[in-house]
Amino acid sequence: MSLAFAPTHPPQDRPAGPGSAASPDAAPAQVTEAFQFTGTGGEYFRIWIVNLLLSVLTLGVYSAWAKVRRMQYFYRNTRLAGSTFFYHGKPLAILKGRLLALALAVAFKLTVGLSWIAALAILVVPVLAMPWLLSRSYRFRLANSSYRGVRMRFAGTGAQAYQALGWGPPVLLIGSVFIGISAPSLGTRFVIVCTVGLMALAAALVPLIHFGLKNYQHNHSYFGQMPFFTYLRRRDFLNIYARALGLLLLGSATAGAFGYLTRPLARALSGGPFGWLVDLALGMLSASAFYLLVRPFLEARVQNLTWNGTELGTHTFISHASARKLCMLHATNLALITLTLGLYKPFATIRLLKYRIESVHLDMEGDFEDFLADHVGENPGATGQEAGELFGLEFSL
Amino acid sequence: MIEAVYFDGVSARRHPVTVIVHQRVMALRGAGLRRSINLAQLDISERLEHAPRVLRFPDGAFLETSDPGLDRMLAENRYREPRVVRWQRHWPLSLLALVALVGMLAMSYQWALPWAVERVVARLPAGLEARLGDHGLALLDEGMMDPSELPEEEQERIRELFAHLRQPRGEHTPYRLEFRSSAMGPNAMALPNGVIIMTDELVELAGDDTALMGVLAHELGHLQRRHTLRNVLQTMGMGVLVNVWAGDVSGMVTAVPALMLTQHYSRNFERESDQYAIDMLQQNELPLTPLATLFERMHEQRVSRSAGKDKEAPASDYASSHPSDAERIARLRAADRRR
Repeated sequence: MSLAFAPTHPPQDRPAGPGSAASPDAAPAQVTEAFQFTGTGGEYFRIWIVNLLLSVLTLGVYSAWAKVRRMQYFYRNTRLAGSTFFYHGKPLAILKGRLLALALAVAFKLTVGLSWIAALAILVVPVLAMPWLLSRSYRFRLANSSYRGVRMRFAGTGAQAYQALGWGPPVLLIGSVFIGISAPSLGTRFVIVCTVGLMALAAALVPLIHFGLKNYQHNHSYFGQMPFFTYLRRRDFLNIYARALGLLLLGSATAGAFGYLTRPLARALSGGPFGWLVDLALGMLSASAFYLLVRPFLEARVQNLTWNGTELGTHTFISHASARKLCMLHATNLALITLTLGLYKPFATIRLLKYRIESVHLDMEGDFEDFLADHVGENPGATGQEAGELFGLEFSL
Repeated sequence: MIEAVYFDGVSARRHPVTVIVHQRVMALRGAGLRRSINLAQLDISERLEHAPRVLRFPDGAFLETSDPGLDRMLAENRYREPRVVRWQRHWPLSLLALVALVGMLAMSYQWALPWAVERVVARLPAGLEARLGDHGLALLDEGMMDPSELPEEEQERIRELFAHLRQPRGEHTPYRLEFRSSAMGPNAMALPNGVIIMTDELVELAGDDTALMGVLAHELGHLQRRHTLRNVLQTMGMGVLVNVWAGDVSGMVTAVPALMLTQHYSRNFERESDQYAIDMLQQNELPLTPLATLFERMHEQRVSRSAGKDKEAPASDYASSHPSDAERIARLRAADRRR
């Protein structure tokens, strides 16, 4: 079965030109195009397993090719107005970045036992370099993304990244390091006060850092020569995070109450033949208040906040991801992944991606024919993106 | 002849074209548009089930098509899909890949990783362990351990007794025996810097020198076989294996299975140490039954202590870092019977 290649909207008649007298009241037609994701779990599962096996057999070298294949799968299955996206990243560039990140990780693990100062240095440097790494990573990603042959571009500089993220990351880093170092020597009570203080500080700073990040990302991105523009406000981010915090407290309280009320039952089950399985399930449930409730909530709301109203020329994005649906998605994914001992993961990834992509629309005024590709700018290396990923940072627009 | 859309790579304008491939040359024709190129110069993207195929020209222009006739046309012109792509599209082969991968991960965990770690540890400098041990000792003394209340002569006597025993296979593992008092109760541990700690409570509970020698031999086994370092490296390696499989799945999901896998490694190390104790005591013509009796007493103490709670010792082996008491006691008694 193949999908016939048909435009999802009738071809437009282009206005004869600005100031044309032919039909003065014919405003450019407004069309809403939905993003579509055509990937399937079954297809992706096969790609995932074969590439994983090859990566393992080559001790990780093939993972760069696997990464390119994965990105290509996601890009080419993302469809807008009848055309798909394309990923141009080259495996060798990605491989270089991964080797560098691996060297850093190994150095960290080895020095941790030897000298905590050296280990600290290896931990601190990437965190302080993070804004720069982020800017390089976006540059690589966007420069290697295209739609209908027109490449995207990221023009943000490293300096602007540092400005955008502000004092937040260094402050939090220094705070954690200070507590970590002084914990053995000072009294437990003082350490607890400091930790709580640091967490409160983080609660206030993280939304601001997130704001800075999204603002930086969106307002320095280009499609061809057309800039993206999003008007974001700090207070919206603070708002969302405040609600997320409320959810977390609510979730933890509920989980705690649930745990307390069902304790006799839990103990009885634990003592039985499948006790270890019950312990496993209970352990996971009680730890999942954050993962099941707060993370999808943040994902959905931040996606809506940053994409709703993002403008590209005369076109506007609309995002309507539902936090509730996303929570359900994550919860069912988690359950299925656990039940299948991890085999469901590729299916889960596709489900999530499909939902998030298809909750975005584009309100178009006029059509894309006017965009011109922008060939200015060199091809940046992949080091930034890969180094960032190995340390667990997820960069997603 | 197939239908496609041509993009020139400069503007986003779509040009509907028809494409034909003949004698490994591709020619396309559209409104005011004509191009041809050697098939070999085209970058042909992988076939995906639900996405249009993209054929890229060297100058950035490209064709996008979902026409089913493309595959046949390419095949007729000797285009072969890359092997990996063919593999991916074949369910049986993919499932075979799954079985192969899981098998490899399981074998790595069970045999390859411990074997590799043993080789690596033999080549690592001793200073690494010394520092780990010193740090650990400092932490213990600060937190859970108090100075021993055993009389100095008693401590010396036990030290002398153990020092006079022959180590198995002519080995000469250096160590230093320290005594402590602790709320932990009867316990002994070996730190990687060569320090063996024994609690007063254990000396009291044992009441028998041979049992104490057995305990010390077990701890010496940890030192001689460098278990602490091997455990650290194996856990790291295991983390990599788990990460290969679980990838970016939430850490919480992998935490419990990872813990179970780690405990399995720990239990194997304990068994190795028990065997070392058997070897050493037998070398010095000492019985193992006193040690077995000591374990029995420690087991009873643990059971009676948790009688106030509703659970006994862990319901199964899976959660414990040591083999079950029953298994260890049985092994010790069997070793005595064999002599």
